[in-house]
Formats: sequence, structure tokens, C-alpha cells
Amino acid sequence: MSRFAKVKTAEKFELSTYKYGFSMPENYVFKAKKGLNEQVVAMISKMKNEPEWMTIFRLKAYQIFLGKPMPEWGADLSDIDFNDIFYYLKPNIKTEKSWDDVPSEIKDTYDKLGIPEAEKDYLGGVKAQYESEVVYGSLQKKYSDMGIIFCSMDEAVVKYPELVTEYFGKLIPSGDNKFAALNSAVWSGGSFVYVPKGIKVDLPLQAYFRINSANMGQFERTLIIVDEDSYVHYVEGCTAPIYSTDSLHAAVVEVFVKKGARCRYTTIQNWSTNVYNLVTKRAKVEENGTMEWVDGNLGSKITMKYPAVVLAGRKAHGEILSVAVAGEGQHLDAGAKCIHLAPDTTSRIISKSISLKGGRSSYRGLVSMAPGAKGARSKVVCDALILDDKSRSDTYPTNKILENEVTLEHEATVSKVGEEQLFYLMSRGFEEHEAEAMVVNGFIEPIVKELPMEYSVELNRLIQLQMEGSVG
Amino acid sequence: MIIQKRNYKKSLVVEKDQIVDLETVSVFDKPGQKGEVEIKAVVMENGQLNLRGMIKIKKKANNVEAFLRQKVLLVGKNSRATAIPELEIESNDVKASHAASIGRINEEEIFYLQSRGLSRVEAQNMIIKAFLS
Repeated sequence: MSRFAKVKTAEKFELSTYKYGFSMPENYVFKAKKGLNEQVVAMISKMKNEPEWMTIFRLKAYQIFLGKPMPEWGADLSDIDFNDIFYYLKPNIKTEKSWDDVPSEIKDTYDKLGIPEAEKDYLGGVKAQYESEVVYGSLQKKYSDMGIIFCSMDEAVVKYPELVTEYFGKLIPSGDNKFAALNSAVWSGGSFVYVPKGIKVDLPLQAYFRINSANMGQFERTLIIVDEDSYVHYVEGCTAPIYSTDSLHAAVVEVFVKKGARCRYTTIQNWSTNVYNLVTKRAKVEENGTMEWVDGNLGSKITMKYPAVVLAGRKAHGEILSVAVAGEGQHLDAGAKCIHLAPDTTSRIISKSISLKGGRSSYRGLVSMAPGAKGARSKVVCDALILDDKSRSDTYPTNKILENEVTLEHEATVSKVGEEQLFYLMSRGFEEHEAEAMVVNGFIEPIVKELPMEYSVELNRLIQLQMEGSVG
Repeated sequence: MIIQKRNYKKSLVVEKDQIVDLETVSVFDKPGQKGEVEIKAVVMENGQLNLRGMIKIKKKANNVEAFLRQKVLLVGKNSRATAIPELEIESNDVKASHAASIGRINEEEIFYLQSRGLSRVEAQNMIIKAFLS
């Protein structure tokens, strides 16, 4: 019901707000049978011609996965049927370096998503993952000449064994949680980024993840190493078609930030609302390093994702900016973790969430300060907006302080869009839904302004669409 | 100890080697309810304080105003604290917020009081007293 005036929705707005819901005919080189067992795990490893240590790593992880119970906290995961999922779909033989060589139905997909266009203007390198494999990869020549590595994780296992064995699974071991174990067993695709000492990558590197078929499980694995005094900005986007059955996305992302280096990792998660998005992301930051997670959660049926920063060196800094928009049938359980292990480490968490049309958004976070983290400081701000009385918002922060020479502040507020604000905007001639969208866009502005240009425009547009003719 | 109240104010000192658990739960299930919970605590040497505070606002509980504040001052060596302020909000016409802070005594404040002729211990006690009042 409108609070002030009748909302003009003469032609009932049946416009689907999700514009990436199309799917392409299936044309796979290889499609594993549904379900998971040791043979499937070994077969994935064999298809990829992996070294023996990786096969063993996978099989061990599979055993850990079997042994771990489903998490009972957070969102409801009881409907996931691990036997009703395709664990490996291979769309194309190899990663192409030119869009012209990518099969047309896959290229069409990325054209619709606007990736090749963005690549020309804004990006330093692109990886496009379709189902289980990376189908396209590029990196500007000036970057590859500097010694920057940007390739698919599969490729890295073969080409850069020293780096991979040194870092792979060291920050998020298979035993970390059930879905990290699952990912470790059946991972495929994802990016590997290495930036050598003292190099600043001025254009972002981008990965684009796409699920096309129904009941698909996508398990990409990303490893980023930013060596001393370097900088890189990595951007990932995700979409999928709308199906009546559920898909599963369980990624693992490990980021190593060395002395004085800085890494920014931006995610725009816009899965369709039949995808379970269960992701483990963690960064380790050494002395004077900075890690920034910028996390936009718009899509998916259920998201459980808590980007973490382990501040391991003196004066390391961690920052997590997240925005979640939970609409009909969605439960976004997102948050952040900052673990202060060293003196003078600082962190900042800003979380903004919006619940509408019966959606539920939760912030779940942890700030911990270990003994010896003298002079550590942390500030957490969580703001939530609830737009109607069917929706719900929760805040579950844990602040664990084991060192007394520290400062921690936590603040959270939950509110609705202020009537005075709406009234003022309407008195200036805006429709109610326009006014409300304007207030909501203002609410998330501090995070949106941190996004790359094309994404911030997109985010504002998506929120506008979500709200069209629905609120009041 | 679990305290089920919408309005509650408490100042406490966790003495040397003590462990204190304090949990507050404030449930708002009717329109127009208002509540404020405030916990202030000082933790001495080797002391440990575990605070948990929940604000629950049920469906149709409109026009509710709820606030929770947890303030902890870690004074002694090895003093530790956990603060978990939580919100579960199922109604949209509400104002709900919480704030938690954990910190130490500001060295500048101590310096100022010492410059006025107080000993370090006296200065510390004065700041603690002011914090808890």
C-alpha cells in the first residue's frame, strides 16, 4: 500500500528484472554424470592431465567433504541434493585468445553480457568461464611483458608448479568447511594472478563466470598473489539462466598480499534466484599491506559468503565494503571477517543491506584481536533498510577481543525509508517509487562509488528495476 | 545469566581473574513498544567478560524503537572481552540500532590528569568512575 498516493502502475509491470536469464543450447565436449563419487573426482583430475599431487589433494578433500556435516547455522541449506548436480561440464577444448575462436553460442552469451565491449575500454585482461572451464583469456601485452601472470587455475597448475604448490590451499585448506572441501575435490577453472614486485596494474583484471545449464555445479578456484609493493584490482561478475531447479556455486578464493602491497577484489554477484552461492574467500595481509574486498550481492537464492582478511603483519590494513539486496525468495547471509594478529593493524567493515518483497538479508561478521595485537583498531558499521513488512533483516556480529590495548567500535541500525524524505521528494514532483529508489540509491552510495563505473551504473539500474511498482 | 528485559541499565566491574557472562534478550512483539538496554563494564587484570545482547522485533510490531549499547573498558593486563550485539527484525516500521565498543583508557586523558597532580592510579580510577557513572 502506498503511504501517500496511488502508485501509477497502469500497465502491470511484469517486466522480468533479471535480464541475464536467457540460456543457450547445450553443446558440450564432455558432461559428467550427475552425482559425486571418487570416480568422478579422479576423472576430473585425469581429464585435466594433472600432476599426481593434485589428484591426491582432490581425493583427500573428497573424504573430508564426506566427513563434514552440513552447516546448521546461517541460511537453510537442507534442500541441496548433492546427487542432483553435474560436477563437471567441459564446453570447449581449450582457452581461446580471440573472441572469434570462441564457439558462437558461447560468444553470443558474452556479447549479451557486454564483456568484449567492456574489455576494449576498461580492462587490462579478461577471463571468461563458461560452466567448468575458462573459454576465453586475454591480457594486454604491456602487462604480460612486465611479468604479470593472469591465466586459468588449471593452466597455472601445469605451467607454474612452484607458485601453485607454495600457495594453493594454504590459506583455505580443504578441512576449512564443507564447501571448501567440496571445491577442493572438484574444482575447475577460476583465475590465477601473480603480480611481481613493485608493479602497479592500473587497469582492472576481470573474470566473468557464467552457468548455462540446469543443475550445474560451478566450482572455480582463484589464487591471487600480489608481491611486495605491488597493486592489482581484480573484478569478477557472475550470472546464470533462470531454471526451476537449483544450481550450486561453491568457489574458493585465496589472496596473498605481501609487504606493502595492495589488492582490491570486487565482486558483483548477480546469479539468478535458483543458485546456491556458498563461497569461501580469504586474504592474508603482510606488513603495511592492504586488502580490500568490495562485495555486491544482488542475486542467488541463498548466499553464504564472508570475505575474510587475516592481518598478519604490522600495520596491515583490511577493508570490506559490502552491499546486499535481498528480494523475493532470497536469503543473503553475507558478512565479513577481520582477524587481527599483529600490532597496529587496522580494519574497517561497512555493510549495507536492503530487504524487500519478502527477502531476508543478514549480516554475520567477526572481528577478532589476538593477544599481542597491540594498538589494533577496527570499526564496523552495518546499516539495513527494510522496505516492507514481509521482509526481514538480521545482524549477527561477533567481536572477540583478547588484547587490551586495542579499540573496537561496532554500530548497526535498521530502519525504513523515512517518510519526510519521501514526502519531500514527492513534493518536488517525483513518483513515490522514484523517490524511494532515489533514497535507496543514496543509502548504498558510499559503496557504489567504490565500484568500477560500468558496475555502479548497472547496480543503480538493477535496484531501480527491483523496486519498480513494487514498493510503497 | 540471561536477562529478558526491554529496558535495562547495568554498570559492572569484572574483578581480577573473574569471568562474567551476561546475556540480554529484548523481545518486541507489540506495536509502539520502546526499549533501551545499556551495559557498561570495566574489566580488570586477567578478567574476562562475555556479552551477548539480542533485539528481536516480531512481525506487525510497528512503531517500535529499540536500542542496545555495550561499552567495555579493558583496564588490566590480559583483560579480555567478547561483545555480540544481535538484531532480528521482521517488521519494517521500526527504529532499531545497537552499538558496541571495546577499548582502553585514553593515554591522553591519563596524561592530562597526571599533569594536574594526580598519580597514575588515581587518574585511572577517576576515569573508570566517570565511565561507569
